[in-house]
Amino acid sequence: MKTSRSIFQGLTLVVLAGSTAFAAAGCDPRSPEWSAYLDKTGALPVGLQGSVAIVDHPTNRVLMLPVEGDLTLVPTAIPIGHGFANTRTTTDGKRFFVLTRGDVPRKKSTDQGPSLQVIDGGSSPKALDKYELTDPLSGLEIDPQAEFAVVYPSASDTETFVQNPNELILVKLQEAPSASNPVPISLRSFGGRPQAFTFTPELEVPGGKRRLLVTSTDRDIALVDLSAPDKPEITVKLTGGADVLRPVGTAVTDGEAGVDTDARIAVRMANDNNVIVMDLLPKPANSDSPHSFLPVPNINDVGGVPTDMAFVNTDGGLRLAALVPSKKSLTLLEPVTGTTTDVDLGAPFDRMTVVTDIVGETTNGGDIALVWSTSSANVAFVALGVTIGKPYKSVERVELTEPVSSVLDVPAPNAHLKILVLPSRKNFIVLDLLTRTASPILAGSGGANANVSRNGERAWLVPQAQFANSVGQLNLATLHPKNVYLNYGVTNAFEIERRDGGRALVAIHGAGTMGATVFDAQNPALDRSTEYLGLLLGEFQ
Amino acid sequence: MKHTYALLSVLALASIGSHFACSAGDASGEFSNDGFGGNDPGGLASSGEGGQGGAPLPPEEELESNYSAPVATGNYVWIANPASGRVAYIDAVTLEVNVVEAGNAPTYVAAIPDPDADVAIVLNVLSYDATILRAKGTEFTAESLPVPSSGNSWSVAKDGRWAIAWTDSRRIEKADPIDGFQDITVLDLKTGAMKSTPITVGYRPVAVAFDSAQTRAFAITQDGISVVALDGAAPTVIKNIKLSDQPTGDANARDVAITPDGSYALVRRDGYETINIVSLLDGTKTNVTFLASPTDMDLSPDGKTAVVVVRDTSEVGLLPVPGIVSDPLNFPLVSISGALVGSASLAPKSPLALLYTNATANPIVTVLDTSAPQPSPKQIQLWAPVKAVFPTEDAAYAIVLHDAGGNVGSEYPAAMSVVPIANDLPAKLMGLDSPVVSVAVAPNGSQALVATGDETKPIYRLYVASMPSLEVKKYNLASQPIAAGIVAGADRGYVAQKHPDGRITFIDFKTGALRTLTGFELASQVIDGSNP
Repeated sequence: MKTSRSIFQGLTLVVLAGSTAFAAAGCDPRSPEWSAYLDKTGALPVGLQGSVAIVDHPTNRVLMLPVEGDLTLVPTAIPIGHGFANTRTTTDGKRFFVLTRGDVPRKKSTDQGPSLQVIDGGSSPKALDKYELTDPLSGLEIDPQAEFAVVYPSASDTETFVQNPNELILVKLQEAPSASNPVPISLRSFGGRPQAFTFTPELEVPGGKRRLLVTSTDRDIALVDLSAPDKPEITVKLTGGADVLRPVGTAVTDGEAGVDTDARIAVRMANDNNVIVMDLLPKPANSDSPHSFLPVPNINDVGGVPTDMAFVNTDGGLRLAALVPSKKSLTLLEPVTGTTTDVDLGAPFDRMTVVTDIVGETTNGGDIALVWSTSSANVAFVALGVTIGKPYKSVERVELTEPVSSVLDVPAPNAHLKILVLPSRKNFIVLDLLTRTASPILAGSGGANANVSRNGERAWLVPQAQFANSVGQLNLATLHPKNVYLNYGVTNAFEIERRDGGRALVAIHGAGTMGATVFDAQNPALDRSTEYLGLLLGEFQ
Repeated sequence: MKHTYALLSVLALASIGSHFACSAGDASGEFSNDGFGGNDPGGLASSGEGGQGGAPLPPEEELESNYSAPVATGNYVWIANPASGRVAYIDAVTLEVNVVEAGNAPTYVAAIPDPDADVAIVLNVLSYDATILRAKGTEFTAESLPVPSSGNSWSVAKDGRWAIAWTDSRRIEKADPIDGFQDITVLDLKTGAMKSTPITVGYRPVAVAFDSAQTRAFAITQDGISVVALDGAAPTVIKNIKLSDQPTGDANARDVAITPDGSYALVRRDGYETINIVSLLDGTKTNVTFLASPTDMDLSPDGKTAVVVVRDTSEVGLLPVPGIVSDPLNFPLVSISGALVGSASLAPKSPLALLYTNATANPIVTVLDTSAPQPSPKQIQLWAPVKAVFPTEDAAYAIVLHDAGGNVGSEYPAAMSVVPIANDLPAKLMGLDSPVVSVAVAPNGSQALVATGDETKPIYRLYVASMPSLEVKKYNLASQPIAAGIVAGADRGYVAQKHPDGRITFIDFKTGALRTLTGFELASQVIDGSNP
């Protein structure tokens, strides 16, 4: 076990350098970071592809922690703007985004403006593009394809004197900052404000392929053409009169390849039996719309309040599958005619995911859906190949001991596994989608939080109890658990790629100025680990 | 020609030209399942039951009038939403939905014939006015006129100049006998000089019609026919012509047909052996007597022949109009043998009459050329009891609805046949999954829509019959059909369905593609930046 050497060495060097500079200048104050208070609020560590990031916002920096092959940390401090607001990562963990609001209020020309800093999340972390923003906003969402980011006003953005809650800032992440990037977008408001965003995949719509940003407010839906964000958005007002319809979920399909009139966006609403399916069709010939396509919305009653939905392929063609717990059914909506077919599930399932890519389609070309429930101790596989107009016989239920609170995906090579998180967090289920077996994993009396390594080989379970000093490794190939004991209480643990290509587990100790213990992720052992304390005291520039 | 009245949630009672079918079953909107005699699909064993000493048969049911459609003009379908005060109009070519504000509780819509534009009128029942909606290219206008009488029905002149709002008491559940619904409102829709005139007609009108010159309107009431002059300074009731010496007679138990030129009214009463022909000029009556009471009477589209069906004697009288007035004993009386006939269906552009009975289980349709000097009936054997017959305009084909449940022994609750009339080919029989709600036949006779629905199952279907192939395709619908119709200008058919936000399914006759629009008002709430 090695202890804390690099952090304190770096700290010593920085202190010495700072003292020398201060003495040379005679009157220069020390760097303000040295006077910064310790505030870990909102500074949750984040596991990236090759680093762990800790936002140290009182000192306006992100501490990036890559790992060498010998399990030593190589802390790198990357400055960020003033006024930390939010972070996000790309799905692959290769990019880390830090949104800052700048100095608010901005009284002097030297005061910082808001910005979005992009940081390389690999094992040699560095600052990438920094996008200057026009408004100090706190909401941030990242496109799953990492092409766009949207910055928007969150409910906490109340400091500015005048604010337009419908102003968005679209950042094209694959383009350098310029006068035309980011793009400010002011949504026409009909009384609502943005609540959620969906970046669609590329859709083949009249006028050509493009991606859309679906913005849900608390009363309508706005579609922004990401290929031409300067065009006015298309708004579908869901609410009229006294009836308030609040969108709470969307589903998107591009339809058949080569057909540009069958892309659809479905929207479900809170406490409403209807789903709205918007067909993206050519604009009418006499329309002076700037868009080549327009949504044609249709209201469809699915017989109860849907809690989740997805477009699926069945032997009868494309359907919108809506889970309706009150009916204990999966309702299949034919989007062209609005006809529905109920698949009796026998239990009130409320969440679903299509797993066809993992388990393969049915013999009739239909999708397979995995459904689970936050209220019923079941999961079920629903084969959607033999449902249309026939009694349903392809629901395979697996009984559990508890309902499921969430489901963790596992990347390849173990993508056929799902980790079911049960509400107590004392039990986890490893569900094998191929063999349809459910293997329980027990996590002790205090419960645990779980995360899955990006290479899909392991899951890590971190005790929920404060100061608990152990981490559980679960080999996803064998389901063999291994408990690793540490010298300090663990709050988070992340498996990252080391600089030598190996794998490291960085266990974060959240107490005090934070620390970390670094293990070999494949064979973790305390006596081969490296411990670091006072992480937040290191790497000042 | 059939006038149709499109309603969001109310089945309209249709009038056929100036022929008013007032039999008791008109408003039910459902078929009864009369017993079918044994397992003999030919049913001939029972065909003479009513006329040969058996138990009296029930009256013929004029079921065709129940199958009305929402209002379609050349390119648009118009649907009112009384709750929102708006009228949706859907371009049947592009399926673009627009919504326009009307008055308070717009409820009853009618098409206004116009050579240059798509025009509809909607009666706003709570604001006592009507909104005239006109779409021409990209232009749209809405104008209002007062309708102090309110009402629940429209009658519109063929040239679109006049529209009359009136109240059909049969649409009012448990109408108070003191309520005579005698107030009607005549709207002059002359461009630039529109005006509204309230007038009073006889007790409880059952139909309102116009003469072909559009100088007279006729309100058929229980007091007789109120004649309204339209060629004066303002519409005025100029006389009332009694149809009967029994003023308290049940108006629901009689057919009244008015000749297109407005000269005569022909009256048939259930249980009476005479047809009364009343001059609307001077009120003189001519009686044409049969050996038994006629069970149906239809006036040919040109008004020159009245087809009178006498079920008990299996005879059909072809009364020449107006010649019958001067010589009431001289008219062709065609005897039908081998099948019982009690009803007639006439095609709009053909002299052929399609005869059948639905008072008993009868699988025969008899075709009679009313223009022939010596008509020779031709019988078409079908394979289930006939309930109703819907000929194409040229009578080359017909859609025949059948009973299938009950004693027929079929698992299908209903059935239909696509019947070649012009060619001697077998009919195509098709079982239906639910009872028929609405039928529409394309004017060119190439397609017919049969919408079926059973809310208790629930099973909702649209059957599309193609002629001459006789192919019938079946489609699922999302909710209970209200009515089917044709938008000839768009070469599309449609089925309006029950849905709180409005639902209509269009079918493209060229491609067979279906598209359902649900939530008309939502569809109009798309703001695309074209009008910032």
